[in-house]
Amino acid sequence: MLRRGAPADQMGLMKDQDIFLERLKLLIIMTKAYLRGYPLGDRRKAAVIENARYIFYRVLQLPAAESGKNTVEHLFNQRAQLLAVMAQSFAEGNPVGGFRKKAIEENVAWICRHLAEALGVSKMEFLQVA
Amino acid sequence: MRDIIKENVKITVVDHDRLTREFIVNVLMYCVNREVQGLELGSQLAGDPDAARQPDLVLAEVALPDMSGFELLKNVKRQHPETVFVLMSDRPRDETRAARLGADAFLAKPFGIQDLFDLVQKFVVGQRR
Repeated sequence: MLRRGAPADQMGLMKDQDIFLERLKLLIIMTKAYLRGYPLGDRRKAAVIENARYIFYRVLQLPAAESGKNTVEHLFNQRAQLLAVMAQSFAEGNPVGGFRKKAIEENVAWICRHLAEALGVSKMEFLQVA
Repeated sequence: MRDIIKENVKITVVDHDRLTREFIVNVLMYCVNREVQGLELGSQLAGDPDAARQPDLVLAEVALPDMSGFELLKNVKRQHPETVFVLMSDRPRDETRAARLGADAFLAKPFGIQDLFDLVQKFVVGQRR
């Protein structure tokens, strides 16, 4: 039997924050795949839009005290929301020119840096899937 | 040689927790570029008589409100032994029982997208020469 997921001594419920971070990673993968020209079928487009909406509204629902504890954390949430808008836009077929592409790449790079440095997401291999 | 997705693969996710269920459905739908069915209760899958809708891959939580994931596993494997069944749980003690009952994989919560990618790679993706 194949085994995946948390080690036995770290097992527990899926928390809201766990799901948010995993969905954000997925949105990064979706965006990188799009930027590299991987095909977006109908279901994939729907998955990107659904995921982007989740991230957008999850950040919106954060209590002001939680979303703005400090400038960096506030920026991280705003950048996650911006990525959600960008992803929804390309998945809906809106044109992505050179400057938009650069803005998306820069935003993804910033979020990845923050995930690695501030949130302790040490394993960035998930990006290789893209 | 390159990877291909098994044609018309049917995947069902059974989890009472909406956030977790929708998360898994979203990841898998993106991976396989197909509709993925999300169900809240085990009986919604166990009670479906239509064999044509029988999924190729089932991911089910052990603690379901109407029946346990173990019962669902036994039920599905009895009628469709070829179906790949992945049990999910947040309790370490469920792992041994899952193996004994013939689950193909055990997904320990909390898990990440990489774990779901691994399951797709193992059970859904074939290789073309």
